[in-house]
Amino acid sequence: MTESELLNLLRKNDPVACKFFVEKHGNLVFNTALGLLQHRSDAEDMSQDVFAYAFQSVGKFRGEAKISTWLYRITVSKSLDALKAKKRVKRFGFLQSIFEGTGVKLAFDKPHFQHPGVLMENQEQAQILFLAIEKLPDKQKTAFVLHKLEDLPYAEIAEIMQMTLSSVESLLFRAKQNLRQHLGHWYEQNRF
Amino acid sequence: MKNTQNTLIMNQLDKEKWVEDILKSLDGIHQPQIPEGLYENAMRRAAFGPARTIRMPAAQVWSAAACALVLILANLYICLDSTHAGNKAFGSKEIFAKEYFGSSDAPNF
Repeated sequence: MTESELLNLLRKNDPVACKFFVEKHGNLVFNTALGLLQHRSDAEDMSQDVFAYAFQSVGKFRGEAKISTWLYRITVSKSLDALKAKKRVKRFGFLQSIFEGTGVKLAFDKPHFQHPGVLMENQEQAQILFLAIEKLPDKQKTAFVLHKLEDLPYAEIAEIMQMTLSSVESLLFRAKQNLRQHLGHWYEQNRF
Repeated sequence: MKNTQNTLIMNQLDKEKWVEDILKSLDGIHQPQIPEGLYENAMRRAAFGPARTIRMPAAQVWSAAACALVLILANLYICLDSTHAGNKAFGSKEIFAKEYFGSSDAPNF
């Protein structure tokens, strides 16, 4: 089935096509959301949200980009919005902890996320890396997650993020520099 | 002196190696399985329509905050003013009598 055939069936709310669509693209949506949100149930919730939105807005999709690119864009934009909302809650929690005198060291300063796809022997190190990824600015985080977790080529990342190839290259370069810096601080604070 | 320098260089090398190892920890990552019931849950959500977050415009939020502040200040002013007036009234018998009996009926204390 070609992409335009699939799109036509989706626009007609064909249940078989809808199921095929979720099964075909479920991985990319869930994995990207998981990489950005770093929380399994949040990523599951986000995947449902992304597909629900895709079903509702498939009529507006003109098919100029690939379906996967369109889904990546929705996932990234919704996940970043969810992260912003989460940060607001965390900020409020931080203020509350000051006022209630419960101390200011919060749980998210420790490695907490275990990605189910990471090799067992790398789990501990990957947890520290995810903590550093969490601290990256949104664009760098997105480019890094798409490149490292989804293994996408620079050209596709550029299309998803609607940027030039050289901008993506420089984003990824800065992301790696920042990660090295964050990890260096982590090493000094938690010297083994 | 030389020993301290060597230790510092060794530490720096250890740190750089550790950082590179951490950066490589995502190599060989595989995609996790799709969560169960994703299709059914997504269809259910699509049928009910997206959850809507209704946000008040910033101007309205600020004007509501300003109104609340004005109300609080007005109440505070009235409280302080009446306390002050009350103290004055109860402080002097003549004023108290004038207030309740009128100037002509006021008893002489």
